[in-house]
Amino acid sequence: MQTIKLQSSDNEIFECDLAVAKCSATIRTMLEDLGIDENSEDEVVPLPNVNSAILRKVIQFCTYHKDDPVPSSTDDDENKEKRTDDITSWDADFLKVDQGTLFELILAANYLDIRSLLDVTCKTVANMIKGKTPDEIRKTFNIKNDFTPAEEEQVRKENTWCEEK
Amino acid sequence: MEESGSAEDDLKNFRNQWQREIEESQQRDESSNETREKMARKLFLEGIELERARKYFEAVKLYRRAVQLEPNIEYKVYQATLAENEQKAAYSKNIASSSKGSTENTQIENDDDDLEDLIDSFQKELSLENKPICESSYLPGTLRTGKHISALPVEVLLLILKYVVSNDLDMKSLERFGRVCKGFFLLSRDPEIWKLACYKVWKNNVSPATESLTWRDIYINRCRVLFDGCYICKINYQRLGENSFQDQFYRPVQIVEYFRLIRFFADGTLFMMTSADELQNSVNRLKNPKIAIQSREILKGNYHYQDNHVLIVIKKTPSNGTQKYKRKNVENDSCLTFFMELEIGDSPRRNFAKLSWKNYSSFFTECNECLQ
Repeated sequence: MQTIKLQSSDNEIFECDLAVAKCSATIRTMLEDLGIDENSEDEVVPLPNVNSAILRKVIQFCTYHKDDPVPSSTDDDENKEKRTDDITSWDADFLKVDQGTLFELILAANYLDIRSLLDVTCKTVANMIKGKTPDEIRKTFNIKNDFTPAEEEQVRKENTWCEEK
Repeated sequence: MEESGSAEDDLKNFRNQWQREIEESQQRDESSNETREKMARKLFLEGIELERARKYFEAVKLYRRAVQLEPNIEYKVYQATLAENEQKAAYSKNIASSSKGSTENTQIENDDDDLEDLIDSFQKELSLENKPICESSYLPGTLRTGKHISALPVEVLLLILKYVVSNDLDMKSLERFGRVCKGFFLLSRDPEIWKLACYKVWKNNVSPATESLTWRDIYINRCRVLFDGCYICKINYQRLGENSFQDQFYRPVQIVEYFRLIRFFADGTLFMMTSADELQNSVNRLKNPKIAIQSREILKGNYHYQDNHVLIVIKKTPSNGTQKYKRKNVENDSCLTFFMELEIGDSPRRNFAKLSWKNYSSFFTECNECLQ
């Protein structure tokens, strides 16, 4: 089985299955463009944007999902049915992490271009937003309210159409 | 000379007085004309009210009195309402183009300018000061591990919002998200999200947004059914109970009460059920689509729009002998198709929250036929 070495931002080296690493479109193009010889075992792919804790999680995710059918590239954003209630129980367990880690996973998925991981993490955040009042959202994500009272009132008024009077 | 002088004076006085009298009488005439018309208009309008309340006899009385006072009153009232409607139309156009849902009279003009400013000013503010899309509410210096939501790039936040809206077009959550902070407000007004929602509801049957009419305006103001919650109709009828053997005079009348519930989905499908059960129970059964779709008592159908009407088609496939009470005249291998036409109206609490019956029909078809 072919393996590849990945180096995290804190210089830890992970050796993983080539098929697993190729879940990441970024690594895939890197290998193709740079022409890194797949036979040379000593080649190391540096990933300066991902730390070791997150990279470990990402590899765990990709190892589990490496045999999933690859979504065709014609399935672009607009045509795809969007739903948030179809997270598998394995993924849900995998994402039982604190909020900071969740955002780091999103950033890693975005940087490494792993569509399935990006989708499932974004769904998880979406579920944290759905059905909440503005104040609850602020509390959930620790966000400062930067509206002036007048602005806040105006925004509230503009959004009354969807609330029952 | 003196006499003739006084005679001239008299004549002059008389002439003045005469002229004054004529003027006064003319004025009186005009004002009485006005009050007469006012009176007639009042009577006529009251007549219309009565006619609407189906008190035709009383209405005709009032119309007759109105016409006696002012023969041309019907035309005058018609002209007046026409002008009023035009004003209203112009006014509602203003509302639509001002891209806001507010209907408060006094606010509209002031807010119009403010609105442009709100999106613009937030955009300027965030780009000039190079601020993140949202700020952390932690005090500076607080020890934290991990990232804050503000670390996410805009395209990822927009992807998250697309999932917030998702298939069921949960625009309410999106709008609430927009009330969190300035950056989130801008994200929640992203035209792409609203455009997708419009196409989802009306398919290709929607004209694109313009400068003055954004996708969000179209979504909010154009007639459609609501997807959050369900439409409920309470129906009751009376039926005679069985006579008692002993007491021939005892004739019980029973009032049967049941509910019809319809829940629409953004993808053009719907659930409908009728139930005499406790209302809350029935609503709960429609809550989870995955469970509801398996229930036999809940009918599944499709709908589409025709102007401000919604046309519903529901096919009830035969149950394979599991039905307890089979009607004799119903062949087991036929399916029942319902057609409904409902008009979408506004309820006092919310726009598009009321549906009223326009047409209803149902017929049986051979099952083979409908498969083809």
